[in-house]
Amino acid sequence: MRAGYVFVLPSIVLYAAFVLAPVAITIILSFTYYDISFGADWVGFENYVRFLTEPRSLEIFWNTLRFAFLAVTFNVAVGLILALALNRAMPKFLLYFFRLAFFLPVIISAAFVAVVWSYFYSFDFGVLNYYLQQIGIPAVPWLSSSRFAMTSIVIMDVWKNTGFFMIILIAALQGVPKPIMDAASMDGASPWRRFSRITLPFISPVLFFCIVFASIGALQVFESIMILTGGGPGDSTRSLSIYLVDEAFGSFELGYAAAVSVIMMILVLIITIIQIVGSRRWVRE
Amino acid sequence: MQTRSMQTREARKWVDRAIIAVLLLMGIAMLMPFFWLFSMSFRPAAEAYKMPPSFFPPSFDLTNYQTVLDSSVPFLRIYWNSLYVAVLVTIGQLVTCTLAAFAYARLRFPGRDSLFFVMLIGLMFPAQVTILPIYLGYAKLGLLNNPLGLVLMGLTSSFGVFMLRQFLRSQPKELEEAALMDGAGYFKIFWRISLPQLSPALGALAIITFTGAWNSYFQPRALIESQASMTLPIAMDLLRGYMSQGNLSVVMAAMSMAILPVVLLFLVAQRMVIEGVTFSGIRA
Amino acid sequence: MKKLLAALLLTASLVSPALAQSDEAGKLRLMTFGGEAQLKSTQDAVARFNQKYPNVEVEIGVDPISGGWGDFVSRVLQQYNAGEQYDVYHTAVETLQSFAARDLFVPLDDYIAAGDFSDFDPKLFDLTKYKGKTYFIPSTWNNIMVNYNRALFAEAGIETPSKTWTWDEFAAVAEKLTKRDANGNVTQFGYEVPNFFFGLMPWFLSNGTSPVTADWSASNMTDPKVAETLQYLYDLIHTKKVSPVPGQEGIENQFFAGQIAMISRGHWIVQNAISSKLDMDIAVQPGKLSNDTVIGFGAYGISAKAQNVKLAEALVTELLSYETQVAEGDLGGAVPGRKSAAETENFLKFPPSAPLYYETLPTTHAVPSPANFQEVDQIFMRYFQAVMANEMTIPDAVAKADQELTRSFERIKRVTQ
Repeated sequence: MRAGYVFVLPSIVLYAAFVLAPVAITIILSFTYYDISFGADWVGFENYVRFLTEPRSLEIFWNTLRFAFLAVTFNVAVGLILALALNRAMPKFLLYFFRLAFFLPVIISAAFVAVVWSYFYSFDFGVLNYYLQQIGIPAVPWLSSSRFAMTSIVIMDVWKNTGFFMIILIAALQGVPKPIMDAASMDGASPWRRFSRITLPFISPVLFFCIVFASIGALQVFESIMILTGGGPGDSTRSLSIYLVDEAFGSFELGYAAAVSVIMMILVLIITIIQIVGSRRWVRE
Repeated sequence: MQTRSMQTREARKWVDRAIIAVLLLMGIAMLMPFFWLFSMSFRPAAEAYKMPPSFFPPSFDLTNYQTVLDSSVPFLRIYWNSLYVAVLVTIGQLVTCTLAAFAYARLRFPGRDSLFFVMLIGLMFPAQVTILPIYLGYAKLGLLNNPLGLVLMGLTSSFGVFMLRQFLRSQPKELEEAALMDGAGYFKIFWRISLPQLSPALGALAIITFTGAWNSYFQPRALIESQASMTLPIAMDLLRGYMSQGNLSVVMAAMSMAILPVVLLFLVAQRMVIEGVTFSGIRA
Repeated sequence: MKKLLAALLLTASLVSPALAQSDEAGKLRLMTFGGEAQLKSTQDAVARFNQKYPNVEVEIGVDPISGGWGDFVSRVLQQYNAGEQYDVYHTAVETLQSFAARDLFVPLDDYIAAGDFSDFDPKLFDLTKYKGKTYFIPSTWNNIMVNYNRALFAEAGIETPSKTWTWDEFAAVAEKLTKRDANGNVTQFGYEVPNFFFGLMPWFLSNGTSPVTADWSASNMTDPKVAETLQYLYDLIHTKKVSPVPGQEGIENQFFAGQIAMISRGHWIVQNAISSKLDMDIAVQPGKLSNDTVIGFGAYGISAKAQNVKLAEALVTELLSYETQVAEGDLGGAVPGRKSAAETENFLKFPPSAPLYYETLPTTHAVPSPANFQEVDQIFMRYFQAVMANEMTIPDAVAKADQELTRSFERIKRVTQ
């Protein structure tokens, strides 16, 4: 009976030290005005009230949700399409090439290729706009207009992360029993019907995992935005995590930043719970 | 009947070819940023951003690489630090996450599911939230400016535990039950039966963990100030210079050098990664 | 035997360089900033220090300021809070009020009076005072100049800018330097409107204004001259179309590639201009009311928690020695604070008008550095970018920025009072 505790002990101890304790401290800090050299003053809900009354917070909150929605949709959808496309017989060298091409962005830090992406997106000197103009399309303000900036960030984010979901979904597709599929094709079921009636139900638990995992990551988005726009122009691409880092390390408002992070954690928790409840309608048990 | 099936087979072949052609184009597009990075690392700064853009560098000029190696940044030492952190973190996670995953998937003990749930919640806390308390704790323990500090904080992960548990649950547990009946100890079961079952997933976790540690930027930046303890992403900042005003072509050369081991590792281990992530277990 | 030994020691001391070696032992921690080049010159200075103090171990920490100066202040405050502070800090003017307001450094007035600092411009020392005491010693500085491509000027037949050129003359020059292709797409820009607070300041200062009040205690956004300056910059981008939209990567490289003719930068650009073989020179900031520009500088301070202040002072002396200063001037990151080190042949060689750096020093103003400087910077830049991206009108942006700045100054009183 007790053997279980021995096995989980190392991970639980490390987890308590490096995640739970810091998070507990953050929750306490969120109720204080904390100056790192003068210490903490208990201020009750002042930091939360500030967030709720701050004119900027609504836009930042909305940006976070908007980014998460777009990034999750496209990351998982593109990942699924790629997985379906790759799930067929092809020469080995092609398979290796595709794996490299689609999975490499996942394992290489975006910070290393950030400079290149900014260069692609540059309005006046960018590679993309150069070729657009060559074919007579006017230059697009990829990062310098609030109309396009979020889309541009989502494009890079999908480039970076979709390979991860592709790999997981390929694995799931390989678990779909072949005899059932073959029987369906024999009966003359159309490809769409085969997909929606057989494949989709079979992979639904994995798809659900992908959506939850992608949502958690997207709601915490930091790197993709920081690299390309830093939250601008104005506040049009600022997410909660960028806002909290600005406040904590730029404005020294540690208590307020802690409150923002607690709000962010609650948001993630709520969305995850909604997804779990919603999943009962479509995920095959 | 015969002709119709031949027709469909023919048609399907063409569909396959079309799909592969589209995939090829996409694959090339996906690799473009990397290609551009390497290409720019071979150009002098004034060339790098010239319009119209050119795909291939005018010549394979190694000056930028030379500049990186001649700079005061001790690259060998920093490579070593990155390797040290990434390898130890990977080994640590493989050990702690497998042990925990075995317990959560195969053993029964009071509070098991709530403990697992608490562990899962860990996925929801971004690094930005936990860094300040960790800094203060490390200061007390003398772990600042020490790669060992980076290792310690990475020794376990909620993701690893979650992934391995799901994988193990998808595997048949009859073998373990039989072994238990024969009176084998838990550790023996773990070592002899569960661990071999897990091996493909371990490969995947190893790659994900290794590259994650190798690329990690936010935490090392907060915890490391001395050049001797820096990891590669932090050294990139140093090369980018004060307020990132430095010569970008040189930075690109350094980044190419930092990426290379990861690319090589992936090429060597790609069978393991891809087939390892094949954990139909997340279906549980 | 003893005599022989004494004779040997005597010859040894004659042969070895005449260094007054100290046998003082101990450990010093030095936190500096900058890229690898600055780090190298600091390491060299420490090596010289170690020749005099062979038994003192110096540990060096470094921050490349990739996250801005606010990040650096956070880092230093954390170090103090954790008892991990360094003995000597190299920091910048932006941070001085934040640190001095928290009593983290020792006053250096006596040390400065006793030391050899007459060579430093007194103006630099004035800028480091807080409540009548000097806590920091300036090391190197940077002012924003207009850097221009001489070849493109010659090609367009434009004369060397005068020391009193005006906003209008500047705009005319920028227009002449802008080239378009048959479709009207710009192939060469006359100027780049800077995308950083420090680089934008000269435009406000030359119009006799600034986003914050002169004593750095409140917002000054509602001054009509702020809006006027923003309008001028907006017109350069959108009406005259002589500048790219702010916020694009690799602008300096575009300048080195000859695709931008003028750019507002400090001395840090010089080394890359040399390595890119760019025919570049510098000119003063164009004027509306004056040709004033902005100055920022690095400075050394000694921690109030340092165990051995005398030893720390000895290290600072070496870090500010003529030799170190010359080396830093050669690096091209900034102008040496020791004037004699900025008069070497090497320093004056490039750009051709290098003496202009020191000539303009009297008409420079420090970059606004209140204790909430990073917030001020972020608020201002956020609205600046929104205006320049056509997301917001100037009156709207000015009013909103004013509100936010006012709230920020309100909050910071918790620390400064």
